[in-house]
Amino acid sequence: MLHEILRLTETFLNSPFKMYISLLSVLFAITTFVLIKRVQKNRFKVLFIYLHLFFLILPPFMFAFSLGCDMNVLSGLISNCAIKVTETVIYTGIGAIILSVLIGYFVMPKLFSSKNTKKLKEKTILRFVNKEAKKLGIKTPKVFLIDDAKPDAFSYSTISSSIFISVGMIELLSKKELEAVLLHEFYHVHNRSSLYKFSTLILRIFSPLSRFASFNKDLDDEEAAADNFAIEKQCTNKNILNAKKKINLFFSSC
Amino acid sequence: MKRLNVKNFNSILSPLEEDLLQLLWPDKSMKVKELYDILKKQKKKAALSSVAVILDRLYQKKVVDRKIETAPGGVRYIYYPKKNQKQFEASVVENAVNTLINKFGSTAVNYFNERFSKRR
Repeated sequence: MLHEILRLTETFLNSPFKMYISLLSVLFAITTFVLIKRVQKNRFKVLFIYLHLFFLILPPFMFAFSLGCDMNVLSGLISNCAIKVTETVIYTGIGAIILSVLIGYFVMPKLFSSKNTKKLKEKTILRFVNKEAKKLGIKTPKVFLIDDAKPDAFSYSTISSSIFISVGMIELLSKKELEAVLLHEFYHVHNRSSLYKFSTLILRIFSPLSRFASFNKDLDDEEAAADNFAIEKQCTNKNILNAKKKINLFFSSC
Repeated sequence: MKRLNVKNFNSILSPLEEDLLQLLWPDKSMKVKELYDILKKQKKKAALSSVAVILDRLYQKKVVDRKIETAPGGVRYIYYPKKNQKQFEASVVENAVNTLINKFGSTAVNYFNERFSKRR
């Protein structure tokens, strides 16, 4: 068995076509990794993350399948390896898409809803969120209320988007300060920040190249950009700064 | 209403906790902002965030309870006492006695027996 594997490995390495594809894949993997850090928009960063992962796993994937196909042909157990490979790729691809939809639409909302949350019914806040969504040309995110005295606000966007805000946050801030916080979260929704954060996590798990880059600065830049978005929309930095001051004061009093 | 003065137990309540409870006892329901405004009128130094923190702390200690009120312009907590002053004092005494018995065992029990038999 081991002797067969070694022989088939040698066959793989001696195949100019397979080595050419493998080298090209590694080159594209490195290029797409560099591009992740170069592009500005999150949607392109996310695209390059998954392209990078695709080119990274392609050579070992090809090797494993060529090994499997060769061995199966030799043993005579499976006659048509190309169909098996195609089927596997298609089923895996369809399976991954269905899983992503299910996770994005059903699992993620349930995960976040478990945090003492319920749909917000307060009309002033909902009217503001609806108005800003229309201005940005995006679907109005759902707004959830967290039953917690600590000021907290976050958002996520997968198939559907949601903004979460705590009772403590609403109590602590003035109307304009609260709007600044909501605009900050709107930036994250519009920019698909949560999808980017999740994708960098996948990248850190699966890509050895991620050891050579830090994504913390990206996330800090993302927060600064979200603040700037709120400042631009309100034409003042007073509200977002006051909101942060009040939040910091709350936590320093704890 | 008699103010709590339990120096022997090293501050059961902070001054702000006591002030807030005095405003809520025996059975008032108030918002954070309302309590903050009263404290401000009484010239007591406390930030709105400090009042919110203390009320949350009292909620975690199960001394007060709260419900969410949705009103035009916002959402807020309404705090109300879970225990009146007598019940709170009783729980403080119970906790103190339980702590002494857990720590000193039969010494504490014997002491209480002697003390209560003398009172008779």
